[in-house]
Amino acid sequence: MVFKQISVTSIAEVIHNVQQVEFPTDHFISSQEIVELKRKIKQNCDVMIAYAQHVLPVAAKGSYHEAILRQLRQDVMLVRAECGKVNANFAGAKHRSKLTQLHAAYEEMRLAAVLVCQGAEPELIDSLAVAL
Amino acid sequence: MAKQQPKAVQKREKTLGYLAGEYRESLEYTAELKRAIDGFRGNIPPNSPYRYLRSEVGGAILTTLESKSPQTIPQLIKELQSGGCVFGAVKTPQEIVTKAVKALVAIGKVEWADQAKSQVRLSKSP
Repeated sequence: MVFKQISVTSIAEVIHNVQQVEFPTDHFISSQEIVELKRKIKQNCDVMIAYAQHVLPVAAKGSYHEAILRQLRQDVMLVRAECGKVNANFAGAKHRSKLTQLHAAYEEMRLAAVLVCQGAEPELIDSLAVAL
Repeated sequence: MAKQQPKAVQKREKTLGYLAGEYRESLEYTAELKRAIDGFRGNIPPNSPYRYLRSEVGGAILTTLESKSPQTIPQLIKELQSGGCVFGAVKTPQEIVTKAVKALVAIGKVEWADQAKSQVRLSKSP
């Protein structure tokens, strides 16, 4: 198996590489929708991690910028963990609550990404928030 | 009615194309403006309505707390908005400022001033 390493060095590249995630609002969700949702979320997590890993080494130690990048990385890890709990055999209220938790974690990650963008390229805040 | 359908689609596509072009141009113009602003040395005057334009949210919060401390989250939001801080339209200032304050608390630059965690101030320890 070949692992493709993602190289993301700017917010514009982040916007170019992420896919828009929409959490289903219907009561019934098909397995296909869940698989597609998880695929998009994982892709976005990889892009955000790649960007954070690129920028973190040059961020000033102990600065707000470094703190918010670490927060973004932490939020991405949480989203990945929550994503792993949602399976494709989707049925019942228990799984529904897991999807709600994933949605909440994803919104936190989106917020952290917006904060990172606000510091780096404020004119792209809305573009990034919509792209995610 | 059936004949008008393609015309409506064409109009919609044409309008969308026009709007996309305008948006793209405005982005380029914004980037040029930012480069021009960054070309100037020194700070924006502290009484300017755009004093936080070049600051990160965290930096703007620290600047505010240096002069006025302690502050509640709504007070910080009001101050940052009056200073022209960029928040965008998708996430609310409440969400952004709260997350920024939590990040500053995590690195020890600011601390909660009360047990209810409603007010923040600059951290006493360096």
